[in-house]
Amino acid sequence: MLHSLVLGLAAFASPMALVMLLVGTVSGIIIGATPGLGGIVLLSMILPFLYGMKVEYGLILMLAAEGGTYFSGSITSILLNTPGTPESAATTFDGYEMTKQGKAARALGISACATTLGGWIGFICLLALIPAMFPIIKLFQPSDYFALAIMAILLIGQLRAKSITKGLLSGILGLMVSYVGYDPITGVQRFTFNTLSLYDGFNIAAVALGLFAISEMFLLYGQSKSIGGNGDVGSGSGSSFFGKQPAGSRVIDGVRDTFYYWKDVLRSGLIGVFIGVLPGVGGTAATFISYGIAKRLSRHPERFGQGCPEGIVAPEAAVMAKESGSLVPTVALGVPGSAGMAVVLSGLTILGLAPGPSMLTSNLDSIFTMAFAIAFASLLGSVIGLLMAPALARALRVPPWTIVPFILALSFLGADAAAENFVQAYVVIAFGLVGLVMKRYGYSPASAMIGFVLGPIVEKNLYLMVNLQGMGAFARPLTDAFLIVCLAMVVWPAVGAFKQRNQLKNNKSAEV
Amino acid sequence: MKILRAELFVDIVWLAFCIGYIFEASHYPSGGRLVPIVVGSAGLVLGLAHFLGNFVPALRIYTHGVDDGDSGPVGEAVDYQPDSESEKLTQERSEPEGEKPRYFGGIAWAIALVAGMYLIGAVWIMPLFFITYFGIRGRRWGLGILAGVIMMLVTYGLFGQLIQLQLPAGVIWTYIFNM
Repeated sequence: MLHSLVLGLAAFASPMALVMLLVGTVSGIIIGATPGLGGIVLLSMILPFLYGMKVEYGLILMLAAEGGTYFSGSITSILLNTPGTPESAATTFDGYEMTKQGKAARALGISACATTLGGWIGFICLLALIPAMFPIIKLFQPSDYFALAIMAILLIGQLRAKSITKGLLSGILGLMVSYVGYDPITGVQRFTFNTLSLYDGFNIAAVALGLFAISEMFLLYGQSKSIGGNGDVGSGSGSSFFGKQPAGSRVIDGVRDTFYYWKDVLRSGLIGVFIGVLPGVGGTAATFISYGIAKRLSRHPERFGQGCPEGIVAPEAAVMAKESGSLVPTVALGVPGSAGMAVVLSGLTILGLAPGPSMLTSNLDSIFTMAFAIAFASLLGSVIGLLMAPALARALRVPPWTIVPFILALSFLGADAAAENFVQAYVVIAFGLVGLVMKRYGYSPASAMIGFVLGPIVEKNLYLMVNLQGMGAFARPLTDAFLIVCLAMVVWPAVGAFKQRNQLKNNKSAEV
Repeated sequence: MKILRAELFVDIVWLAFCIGYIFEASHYPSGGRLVPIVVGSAGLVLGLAHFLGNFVPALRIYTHGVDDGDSGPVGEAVDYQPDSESEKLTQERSEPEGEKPRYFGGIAWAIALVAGMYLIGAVWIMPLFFITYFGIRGRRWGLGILAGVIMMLVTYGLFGQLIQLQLPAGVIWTYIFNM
């Protein structure tokens, strides 16, 4: 364990690793600050470059990019009242209020410091959770993996889609598409229609690029209005936030605030880790829950929403800690803890790693490299993000359609690089159209991606379950527990929808 | 009404896809067809329930969600009632005129880029594509030239030389040089 920990840290000893950390973090900051282009889009665009890359470099690049998006998402939340990522939405409540009061630099200082501390809390928790996973994974049998994979697809589908059936259908689409190509059990080609380029199935990078990056570009193309309005960034407009600021409005004051509210940082960090471990419950939930709890436990709940430092500390500490938490099911069980982790999982596959129990035993150092990457990226992201904040706010005056051709070109070239086959560019367009339809009509591309990634796991474990365990699979408490959660995931929203329907009916009759 | 019709079309396409998928899967050996048939059948059953949601108002809340004011596209499709009030509501929730063709504009540019890469090669299409795109979309010819040159260098330098990717050379050039 200690040996792996040292090896994990040693991965950062080479200059190339540090370059990857820097490139990942900076690209994460830029993409994270651009509303519409979240971590998933960036990770999708990184996937093609992972082919042939050294494992540790690939891991550092992915995790640093994912980590870099969070603080920069908060920059636009604080300065422009526009969350760069959905996870930064809770930061707008008090962050933008502070900007209006001329305390933008202080708010950014709080955000940067809380994000970093949250990242490190998550890192420490991850170090503690990894050894605890060893005895747990030994209990798992094929039926448990099968039920867990189904649970992950259902959870993410139900949380991201706009109706019960749409969430389920999104996951099923991902599963169906994952079975295209060579069947490892029988050796036959399935759904390829004798097309040579489909013999290996759809390329994972091409599917991710299409579902997330290209579909988003189709949507962005229609927007002619710039995201950042006139780019007014409050008191820091046009100047560095490290410049002369009145006492009480400086970045350092924000850092002090964060340490003053250390209890909020710790509590929110732990909430973030806990929520991250649960598959499907995303970062947005983590930030809002942390914000709500901080408000409830605060001595001055009435100050929340009026530029209260605690209102920034809580969500910001949770968001980065959640990232470490969601790494646990991803690497230990091979089941992604979030939509972003589904793409990270695809990246692990590309790098030749097999997420799941075997990774804990044979690639433990890689897991620690990922954990360190999150921790370092949270620190580096905050420092660089603070330096880049005014420039980012001004850059958002650029109309969104100007980004479109760059992402299109890089996506097609990336897909071509990933599979060394230009047919994948057509696959990218096809999945871009599928992603557009899914977003347009409230389906969940994230759930489809998770279905696609977990398809082979579902198939292998269902096959093993049928042939080895038979009906005995349902006598296993772990399998039953997961299946009960799966059932609850379908029934619970149905009951909620039924109640909502009755409420709507009552409202209508009251209006009449 | 446009959105409802489009959703209905999506549902029909889904059902047809599931039927085709199950039919195709049924031809494979038992070990290879088990999971695709199970998954395809689940998709078909759910798809049917979803399809019925277009016609049975009581089902719509489960299949198409609730209009919560900011729910976006799905919210736009709910509460289908064939009366004038809902017609008006749906009309209000429909996209503004001109927005739909903009999606198609984005799609057309993507297809044009891929077609260009195939026809005249990845390196040469970049300046052409960027100049055309920025010129037509925003009348920013200068920005288009700058972006085009940068992307050409990125394509050739990063993808062609550094990653050593076999970039599409363009069938037109291949045809001309092989003549």
